[in-house]
Amino acid sequence: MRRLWLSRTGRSQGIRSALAVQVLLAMMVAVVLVPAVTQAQQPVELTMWFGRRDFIPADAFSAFHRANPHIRVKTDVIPLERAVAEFLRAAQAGRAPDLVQVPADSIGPLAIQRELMDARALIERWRSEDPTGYGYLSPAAWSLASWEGTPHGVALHLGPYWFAYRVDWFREAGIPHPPKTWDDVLAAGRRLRTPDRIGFSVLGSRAHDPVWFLSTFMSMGGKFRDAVPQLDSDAGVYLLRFYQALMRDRIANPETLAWDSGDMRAAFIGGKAAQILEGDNIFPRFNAAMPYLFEWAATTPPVRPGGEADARYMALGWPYLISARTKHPYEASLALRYLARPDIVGEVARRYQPTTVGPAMTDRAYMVAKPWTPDFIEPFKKLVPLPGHARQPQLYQVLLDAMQDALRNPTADARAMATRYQARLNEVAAGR
Amino acid sequence: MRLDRRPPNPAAVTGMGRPRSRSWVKHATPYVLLAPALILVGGVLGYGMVSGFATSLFRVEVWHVERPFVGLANYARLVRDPTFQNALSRSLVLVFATIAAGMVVSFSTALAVNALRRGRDLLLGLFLIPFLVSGVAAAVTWRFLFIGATGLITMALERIGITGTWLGDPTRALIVVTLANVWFLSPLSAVILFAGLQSIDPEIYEAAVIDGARRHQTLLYVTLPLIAPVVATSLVWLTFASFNMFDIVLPLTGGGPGRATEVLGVYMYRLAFRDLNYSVASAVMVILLMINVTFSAFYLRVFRV
Repeated sequence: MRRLWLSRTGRSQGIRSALAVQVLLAMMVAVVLVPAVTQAQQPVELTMWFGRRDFIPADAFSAFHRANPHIRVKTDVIPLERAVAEFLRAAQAGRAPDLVQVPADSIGPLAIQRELMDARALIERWRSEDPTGYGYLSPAAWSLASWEGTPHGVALHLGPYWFAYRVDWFREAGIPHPPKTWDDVLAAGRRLRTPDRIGFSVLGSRAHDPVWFLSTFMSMGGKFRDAVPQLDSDAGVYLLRFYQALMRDRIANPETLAWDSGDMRAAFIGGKAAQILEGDNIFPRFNAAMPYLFEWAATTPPVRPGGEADARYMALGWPYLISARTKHPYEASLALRYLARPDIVGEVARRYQPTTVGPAMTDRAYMVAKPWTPDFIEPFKKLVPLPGHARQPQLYQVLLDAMQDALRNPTADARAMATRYQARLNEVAAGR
Repeated sequence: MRLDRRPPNPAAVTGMGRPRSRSWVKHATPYVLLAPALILVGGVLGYGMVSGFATSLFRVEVWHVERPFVGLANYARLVRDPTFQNALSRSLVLVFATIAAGMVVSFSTALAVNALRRGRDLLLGLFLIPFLVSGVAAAVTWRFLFIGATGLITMALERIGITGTWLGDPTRALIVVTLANVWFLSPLSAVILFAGLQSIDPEIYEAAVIDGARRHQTLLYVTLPLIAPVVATSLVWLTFASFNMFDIVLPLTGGGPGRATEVLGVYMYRLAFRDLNYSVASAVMVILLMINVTFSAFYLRVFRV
């Protein structure tokens, strides 16, 4: 009886003790977990600036919102040309977006002003939580979003410049194709120009950054020192002479100095130009006007004779960067992971810019949308980002001056011109 | 009943109707009504000007975190900079060419409309259309007229033997920009001058005719002196609008070819929003403001307004 009583009593006390311990544990867990869960589920609104409407995925984040009901992404389009200035102004006013897209060569000012988040921890978390998705990204995805080795986001799109030409005109004229060197381009241009068409379409105005000029420079083996192009080199002099020849031999349009990218593209699409160096994203428009391989074809940019070993294929990039002022860095990185999904980024790449996400570039739908892709699979792996300097906009102004000087003075001494402009580039880079 | 009671003096009545308060309200009312506009203009423009001037005294560059005070160093740098000198010279050419051509066009338009008996308002309204169109739209239209072999004016000129590129040649591009600028700014100048002509008493002209004055004498010795103040206003308009011109130039030529049409407005825009060099751009703004104020003061003094 006593034993029985003891048992009951002991059991009761034991049960009470166990219950007390369990309640205490539950309370401790609740104190720790509930706020975290509550915080995680608190509605989060992210603001994201895209540099072009074309970059916004077709589903406009609806799949992301379904998968993350507590996160809402509000998008806006701030043109790439204004993105840096607008972002800095917004940041100073305390209204910076959580994510911004800028040209890769313009990251410097934002990083120097400490307005970009060091994304290393977020990227590491991405790798551990989604190794498959992380593994799809090429190294360029990180390098194009980095400044001085620190990643600030991810570049899901990059834009190479390829050489396109009227393969039907080349065949009719019996000219070997594709042109291997830029001398071949000039020679073909001289043979193919007529009163109604030009041999090579190029823009010469100040309406855009000199990215076509620099792409040609890099394909000629042009080099950079601390992100400053070395114009007073064999490649630089050759480049200036190339531009001079375009005007001197009337291979390009006499209005080239006033031409912007629209004029340049319209000439080729409209059947008024035999050759052009253009971004991959414009090729769908060529294809809509002329069937690939029947009327037009594309290849990697030609090279400079003697500079073959140094030739490189330049690519621009438009990374998505995380603001240093965001209150939701993890959620911002989730938005980037969503954009990096092959089905999401692939839809954008099929109609706009190529991507750094491997599966999206090799799937059948992409090949059908861009039938020239198989010809560029290997060159794509060798793309080199355009080097970016902190004073990139000012360097661009000097390069535009050099380009226009060559176009306006087709008989001037190109080497002296290169030396003169290199001095100005060095002054600008040094902040003088 | 007291017979010497005088009727109450309304001026001595307290509350509403007291002459002193009525006078105060009457004097204060215009200022009160103007206050919102003044606050808006002063707040937006005034703040911008003061802030811009302050920024021009510091080195504000996006590739530096520090913003040290540099005094007038930005101005000294600008004066020595060949690109600034080029922009200033281009602006001066544009301004003086616009004044010359603009005054001829607007004054002759005003005289012609003033001489009309019927359809005056309709014609004046039609003349104002270029000014009512946005600068960008006007610039794009002018670009279409002169670009390439298919530009309407280019083709017309080729038929009379004037060939060659217009927007691709530095001198010709500046001519096109000037023509577009005159086309855009002259209408308002014409309206200003027309208003001045309308204010002249017709009897003065009758008296001049009776005195034997010829038409050109009437114009020189009667019309022009009487409308001198509005001529000054018109000149101020043409001058400062030309110095500040931006939305015609940028879409039309982008400041090119070379920097042949890079006037101060385009130069300042490029410094601020392409080069992100805010302090030097602010210095350009201050210089532009001083130039405009100087010219305006000169006109007002010469024409004794």
